[in-house]
Amino acid sequence: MRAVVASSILMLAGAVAPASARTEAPIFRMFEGDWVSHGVAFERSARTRMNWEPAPGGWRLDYRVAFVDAAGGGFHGVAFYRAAGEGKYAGAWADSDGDMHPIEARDDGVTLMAHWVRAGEPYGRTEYELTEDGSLQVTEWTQRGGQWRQVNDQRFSRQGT
Amino acid sequence: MRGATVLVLMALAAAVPASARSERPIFETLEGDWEAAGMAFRQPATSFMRWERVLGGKFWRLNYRIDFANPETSDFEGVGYYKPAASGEGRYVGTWADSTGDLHALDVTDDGSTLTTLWGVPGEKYGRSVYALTADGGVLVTDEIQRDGQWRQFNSTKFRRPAG
Repeated sequence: MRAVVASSILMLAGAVAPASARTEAPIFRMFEGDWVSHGVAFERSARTRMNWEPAPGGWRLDYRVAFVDAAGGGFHGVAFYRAAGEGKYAGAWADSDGDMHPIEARDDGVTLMAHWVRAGEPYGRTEYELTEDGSLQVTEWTQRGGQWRQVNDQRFSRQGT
Repeated sequence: MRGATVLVLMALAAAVPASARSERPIFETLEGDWEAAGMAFRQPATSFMRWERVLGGKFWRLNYRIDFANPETSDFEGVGYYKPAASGEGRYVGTWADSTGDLHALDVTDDGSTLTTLWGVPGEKYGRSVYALTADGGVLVTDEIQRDGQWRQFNSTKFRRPAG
């Protein structure tokens, strides 16, 4: 009965894929929780926190950078991901720079590769890689003139470890 | 002297053409918590909205939740992010994610009393959600889906500020 009622509502709205098929994403389960990185972010001294958690229809990343150099300030971004096929995900990103873009991502079991999309083309990417020592390595690139340039590289540990 | 200054400022303000005045974005009126008890998606439910500025003030965020009275119906939760569009005053772009697995880009228009949000892809899954301020201080939210070029309403909920 529950499934019937829920399905009726979703079909009326045009959303018919079962939620369970969209939320099973093992790599996000491995990411789940709080992570911290103390060091350099975007070439500045910073403390960075990441939180991965289940969200409506998928998973959410909350990413906060507090710059600890003289200029101070910070950066805050959020991303939503939902499954879009075996090992593939669709997502969206919004941040305190005012940037907002779709995400096309895939995972190979230990690394989530998230491409930032503008006008249907990737213009940047972030890789979230689980390492053998239990850390999460985050590396970012942007694309200009057909060339990829690394713009950030951070290593995160589980908060409290 | 102070009174004279006020008069000068009032005169200057009156001289500004109406078209050049920036009207108050509807998000500022919507800001805060809203609640609706009654029907949602044609079922008894209590619905909640919270509108707030986030991400350093660059975005407005809507958190939308429906708690259905029937415990066998899965509750609904969605979140939307909105920011001014480059296309002009009263225009916004956004993104939406919800518990049905939907993830949409939003094309949004604010006419001062109604926020109209187009979501999805025309010709595929395409809908609109309208948040209309009402004369009694409420917000009427209607959701429609487009089928064969026709808009079909599938939800209508009247929100009020929560008591207390």
